[in-house]
Amino acid sequence: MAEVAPPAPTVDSNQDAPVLLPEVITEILARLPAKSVGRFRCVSRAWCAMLSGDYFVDLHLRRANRPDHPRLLLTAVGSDYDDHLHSWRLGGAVEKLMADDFSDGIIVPVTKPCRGLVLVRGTGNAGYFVCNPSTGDVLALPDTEGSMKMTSRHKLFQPHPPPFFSEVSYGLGYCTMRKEFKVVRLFCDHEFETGIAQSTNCEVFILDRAAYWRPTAEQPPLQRVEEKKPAVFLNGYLHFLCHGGIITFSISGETFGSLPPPSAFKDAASAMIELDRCLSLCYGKPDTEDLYHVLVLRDYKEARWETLCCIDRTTWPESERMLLDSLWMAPLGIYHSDGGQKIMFGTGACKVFAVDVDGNAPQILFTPDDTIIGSCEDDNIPALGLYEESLVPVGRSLEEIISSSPTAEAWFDILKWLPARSVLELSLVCREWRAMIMTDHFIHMLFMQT
Amino acid sequence: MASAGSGDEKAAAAAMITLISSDNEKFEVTEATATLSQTIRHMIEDGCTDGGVPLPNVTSKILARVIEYCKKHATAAAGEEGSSSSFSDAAFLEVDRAFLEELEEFDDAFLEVDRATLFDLILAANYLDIKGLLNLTCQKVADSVKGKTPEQIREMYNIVNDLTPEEEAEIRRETQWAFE
Repeated sequence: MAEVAPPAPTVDSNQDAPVLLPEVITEILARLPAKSVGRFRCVSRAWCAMLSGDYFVDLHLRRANRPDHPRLLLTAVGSDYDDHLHSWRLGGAVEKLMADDFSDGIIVPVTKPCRGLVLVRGTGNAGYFVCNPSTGDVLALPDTEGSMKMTSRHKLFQPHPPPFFSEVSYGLGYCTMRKEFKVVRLFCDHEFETGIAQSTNCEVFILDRAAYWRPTAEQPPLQRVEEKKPAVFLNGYLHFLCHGGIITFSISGETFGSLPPPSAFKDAASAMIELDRCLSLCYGKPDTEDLYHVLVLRDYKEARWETLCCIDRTTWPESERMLLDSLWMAPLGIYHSDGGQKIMFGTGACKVFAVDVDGNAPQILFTPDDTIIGSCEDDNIPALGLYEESLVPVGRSLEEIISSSPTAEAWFDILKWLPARSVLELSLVCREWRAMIMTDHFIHMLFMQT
Repeated sequence: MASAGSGDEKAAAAAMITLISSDNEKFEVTEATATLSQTIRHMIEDGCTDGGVPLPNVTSKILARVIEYCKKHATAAAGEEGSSSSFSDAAFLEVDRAFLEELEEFDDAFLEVDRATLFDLILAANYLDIKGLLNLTCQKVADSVKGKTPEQIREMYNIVNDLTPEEEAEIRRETQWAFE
């Protein structure tokens, strides 16, 4: 008994850590990268509950991403291609993100992150996906690999051929009221000679709610959209840049409106993005010596466009002009450095540069050549976009949504015993049945039964 | 409330607030320094700072450091306001840049403390609602735990693992992306 000394005050490293309030622990952990948070979910029961809650996921979005430190998502396929997407930040190294094998095509960022989720597409009609590059969570959107509305099945002497659309533009938004992500796509068909839009159609897909697209109640205005001009989500509205105007779409109310473009606006080679929390329009051919204009919509209500900068690339030094010459370029964001405002641009060869608002003397910020990506060939599609740390899930897969309804699951089991012909007919019963019958799992089951 | 005369402004700037630490030490600070704390700002607005502001949660050692931070950053805030009117002035930009660099160096040096002090600073920043200081200190701790494993975190912060092996395996499976 005598040998057993009473527990002396320990002087190990743990003893000096005072007990922190839960809200302070939350504040600290919200500043971690998503990966660390994911790991720390198995520290204890309390940590797991806290780090998985909606409150923490929201706080983490705000704390782990600092608006003055833009981070980029690099999707380029370089000479040292390693099957992964990458991220990069000013003054940092390239970091490996999720694998990019979810699509058969090359991944192209379509939108900027919306609560961390990014809409991407695979080149060569390889479908659209919503992904969270921090966690690797990814959802393949149905009917986006050569969408049905864009497949022509004309028959001779058919009096009323089904509607056909030649072009589509996608966008991703978030409804704060109902806490839903909505992917919206606007189809259009135009007259070949005049280029005038003849018909439009708009569909909505809600993440984690339904396994199918549904049309909007309101008909979209007759305007011509393009796939390479995706919608910009800002202040609760999606903005589609069309030939001759901007269509707005309210994410919560699902109603359409319009915004006048700037007066000097030229249709050709234009792009719309978000800059400095304003809608921004850029025009000027990328791989030429034309002036490149960047305008911002400073006053949304009054539709007052302001020229942010006008870049005259002929004034650039020859070496920079050669290095940055690309078939694609677009502003990525604004940041402050050396007491001034800089606009960050990306090119189709995954290079990043910045200019002052006077547009002179570009400063090269990033080239992939000496990184784990390796040198990239130039292309006329985006090789990079913006990136945010996020724990936001993309929601259940289509099959999980379908099987979460007991009746749908029962029908699933019944329908798989029917001959393929009857099943096809029954796929017209309702959207849910159609979605169910179109899943890979169902088609596989049907094949196994027969 | 707008004070037009420069005399009034000086008077406002010179208004002193007394902060009293938990061990009853008194600190005299300017209002500009004190109002970096939202908690104290509200007290001033409500007019209840006469006779000093008792801060029963903050020791004199920590309060002295917090005031050191606030003093430095209050001058920074004042400097920013002053120079914004002549933003295009190159000379001012030079001064701004030098000052921002100095501020960054100050912050880095300020964080050179042991873990106990750092945690006390976080608690004080949280209690006094000083956004910049809370941000700075929390980020410092976040950076130090970023690459750690769950086992290391449990050890560092004396956290008992109350998950059953099955539960832990399940969480690991669900967050497999975090362990790659």
